[in-house]
Amino acid sequence: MGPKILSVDDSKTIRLIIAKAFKSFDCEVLEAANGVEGLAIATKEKPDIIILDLTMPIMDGYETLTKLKSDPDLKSIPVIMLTAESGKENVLRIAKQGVRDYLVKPFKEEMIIERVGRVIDLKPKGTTPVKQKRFDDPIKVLVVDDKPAITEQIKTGMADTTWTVVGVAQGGEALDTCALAVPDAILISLTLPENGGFNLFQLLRASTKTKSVPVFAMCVKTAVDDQVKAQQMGFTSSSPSPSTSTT
Amino acid sequence: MIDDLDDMVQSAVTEVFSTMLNTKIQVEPPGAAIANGEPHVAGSVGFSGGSVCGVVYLYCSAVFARRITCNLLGLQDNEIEGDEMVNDAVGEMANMVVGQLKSRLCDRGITCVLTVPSIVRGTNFTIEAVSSTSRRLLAFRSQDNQQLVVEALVKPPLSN
Repeated sequence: MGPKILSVDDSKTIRLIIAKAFKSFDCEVLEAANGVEGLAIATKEKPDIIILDLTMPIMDGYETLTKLKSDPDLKSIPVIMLTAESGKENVLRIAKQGVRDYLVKPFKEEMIIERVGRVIDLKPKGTTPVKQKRFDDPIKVLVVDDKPAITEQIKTGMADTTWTVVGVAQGGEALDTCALAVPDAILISLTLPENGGFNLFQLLRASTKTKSVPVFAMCVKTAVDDQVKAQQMGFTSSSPSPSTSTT
Repeated sequence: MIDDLDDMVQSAVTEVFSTMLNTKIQVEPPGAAIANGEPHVAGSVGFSGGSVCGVVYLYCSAVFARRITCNLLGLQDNEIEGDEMVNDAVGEMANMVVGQLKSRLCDRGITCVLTVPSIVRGTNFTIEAVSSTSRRLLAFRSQDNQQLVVEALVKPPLSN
């Protein structure tokens, strides 16, 4: 059984849109038409995430959120607010209550999938569990480095394996490549201009397609700060770039 | 206080249609009001706060309301389960438009709260303002030549 998503909105239209958005994922979408129903379902079903509207009859989103956050059994459930109201005052008021994210209507289906996918592990329906690849299995490695010589060194180093190395020079190209076919591993140079390596990592982790792909940082041996930052951000590991490891 | 209400409403309507229905909607010249005599659906949401209050109506033919519903929910016309589904969709469109309006007012320090949406259905009705209330009428046309009228009634009166 996949994760449970609870949609609390007085609009049946919005609940239908949300149910449709997650139809192709292995998850269960539960529905409630107001805060009272939402709290009851949350208590019974313990959903993995709640998508909560603000303006609702009977019990509105603010009160529902307050009650969720004051209940020891429910307070850890991540909440994404989905509301037609985006004024600064509303955002600040809600942020203080500890919501995970805030999405303003109108919204596109992809937006809600992406935001929910940042919090819970969404898997497309019908996918079999991924078999752990062995060292000698064919593996596709994406190298993101603006120095072609480094990509070539990696290709040469892996020439005797069954691995395929694809090189791109920029973050945008990397995202395009991942959109076509998700690689098994990604190596990113932290020397890409304008923090490009770190920015790319964040985008990869925000996407449901690539959030679980191992991502390795490549940097010069002396760039200790970059290595620490990479570790803190959640890179799988970091290692010196080939050109620096040979010197 | 809110002299550019027309601009705010126009931008809210075009954004909601573009994002939720993936369709462009063009502004028509003022005064091109909807023709009565055929079934219509009006969705309204009110807003109320310390310094301003009002109500915004979105209305269109029942045919266009069904098309909006189909587009919004990704359904075929024969999959719509009665008027309730259409009412909810039109009400939600009105809610999103007024929500956008509210957010822009809020960013200017004009706070207000929204009402829940309500729906009026009929073949020959008009929406009129009481005295001391400003009335703004905006007309739009969809790519498939359907008309949408947005009427905003605001108090205190606008400066024009």
